Amino acid sequence: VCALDDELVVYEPRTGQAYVLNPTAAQIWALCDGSHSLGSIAEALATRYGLAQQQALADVQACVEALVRAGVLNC
Amino acid sequence: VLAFRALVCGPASLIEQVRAMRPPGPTWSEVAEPRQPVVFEFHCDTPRSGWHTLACDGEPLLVAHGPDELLLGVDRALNAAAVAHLGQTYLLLHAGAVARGGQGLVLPARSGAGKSTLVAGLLAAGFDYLSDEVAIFDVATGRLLPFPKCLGIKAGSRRVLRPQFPALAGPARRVAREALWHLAPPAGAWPTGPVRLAAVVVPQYVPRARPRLEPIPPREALQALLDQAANVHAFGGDGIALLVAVLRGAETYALTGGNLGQAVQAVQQLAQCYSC
Repeated sequence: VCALDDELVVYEPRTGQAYVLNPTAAQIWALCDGSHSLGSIAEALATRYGLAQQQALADVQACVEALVRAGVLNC
Repeated sequence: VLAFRALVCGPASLIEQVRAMRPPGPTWSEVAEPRQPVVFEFHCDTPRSGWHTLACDGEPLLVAHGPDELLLGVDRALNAAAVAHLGQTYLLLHAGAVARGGQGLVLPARSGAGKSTLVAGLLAAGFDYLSDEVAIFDVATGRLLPFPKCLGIKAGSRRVLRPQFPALAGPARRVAREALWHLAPPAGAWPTGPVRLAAVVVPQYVPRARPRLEPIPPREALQALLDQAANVHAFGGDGIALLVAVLRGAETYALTGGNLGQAVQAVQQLAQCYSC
């Protein structure tokens, strides 16, 4: 994992793929540390970006699903 | 620095032509005790008159018709062997690479995107030469090293470059309908040592279009480097981390267009900025 500009480059060694996470995805990825629920991550983003809580939760869920599919996040 | 040596055996007249296609690199890039050389051997008029065979370390590699096909085959085989050997130690990209004032500029692009033409134009404008095809990153330092080879110039580019490089007036090597001129880099064109990456410029040849040099996000430059990486997976996460690290200290641009003179001018202006 390394920072590039305001984005994050994540390498998945099993597939040999590298992924570039935009700043929002990078924040979500960083908050997926085992101590935050999806709801609390969505709340943090909703506050930061002025989003409706429900919209933020849907976005966080979609992002987390994509990160899991890519193999850079384990549930 | 570059621990690759090849020993090429064959008739003296053709060996001289092979030697002319392989310019010596800068002395600082040579190692005192290189690895065991890769041995290439070619035989003329075998299996019959007008045909030639090429073997690498005793294994048959090529049967060529006529000296041009043989010499182009030897040149390609030498490049491939060098890439295979150097790729065990260094991170290699399919890219042109030049430098000015110790500041490196990498041009990652697929074949046919105009790398060699742009590199030749930049050499004529006084840039130092690293390669027109293979950019080598030292994994330990992130610095760029030379890949000593002639520039490969095709017919369309030759017309544009001939005024600046009289050597292109000579005959081409021809296979089928394709003609290729091997252009040796000018004397003293090598940088004086490994160079740091100052800029990535992703070139795209667009015929007749006015050149545009536009900033791109580092992520796009990283994608271009990864698209042209020959062996990054061999280094795993360290290879990606190296590219990210060198990109952090570099400017990143896309260059589109079809006019060589204007493209060179745009890159020159960029180089003047990062040299300051």
